[in-house]
Amino acid sequence: MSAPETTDRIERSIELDADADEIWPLLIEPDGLADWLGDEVELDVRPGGSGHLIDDRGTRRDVLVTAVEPARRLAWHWWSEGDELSSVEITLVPTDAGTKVTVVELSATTAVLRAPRGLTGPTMSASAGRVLAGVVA
Amino acid sequence: VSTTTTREPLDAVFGALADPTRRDLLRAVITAGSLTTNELAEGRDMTRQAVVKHLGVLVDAGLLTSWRDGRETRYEATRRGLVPVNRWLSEADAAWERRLDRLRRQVDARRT
Repeated sequence: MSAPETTDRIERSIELDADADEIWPLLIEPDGLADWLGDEVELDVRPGGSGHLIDDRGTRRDVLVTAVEPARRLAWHWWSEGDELSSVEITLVPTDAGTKVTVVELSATTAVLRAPRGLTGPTMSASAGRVLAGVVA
Repeated sequence: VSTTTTREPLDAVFGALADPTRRDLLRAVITAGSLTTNELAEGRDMTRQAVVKHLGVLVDAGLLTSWRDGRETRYEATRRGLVPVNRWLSEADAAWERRLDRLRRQVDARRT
């Protein structure tokens, strides 16, 4: 009955020509975050800290920070106005050339819909009616 | 009819979805469109009371909404419980590509 929770998982990595210590401030300082994660960031970056950000497309997300390991790992839950809740984890791993930055984003609610029980295939849509039609079909 | 517009703490949703029984209950409701407590409790290896408790967690998290239907309580998934899958995947992936590009430019800018 338990469902795999890794279906709706996005993973992206980049290699940066900098030490993790140099990258870290961009991840924890609101001004640093505002330079890349969103255009407007108000966030208390500590475990349990919260805030919000508005990204480059104007989407506002409420954020709840869940893990902060200096120069190693940062994780949060966020929730957009479209009610799309997901969990993000950024890890920094030293490499010969610098630092590998990996982002994993996991959608909480979509993981439910994509779980077994015949709910397979790209049948979901924004409309609840069509979602149900796809599931039932 | 209960309202689902309040924004619950994010952890409530993650907590609600962390349990396989609750995921299964939510799936059952989504598949059927709406179900009553009795329909949801039927054939389950747990007491009706336990099912009701799980359903309460899903309602509190804003994933299900419930209302009285005669002598029963009926449940339906909220919009939050019906997040579209593919749109999220493609948009979230594209968003991270943009963000990581910007991060790279910021790191480069700070080093020069």
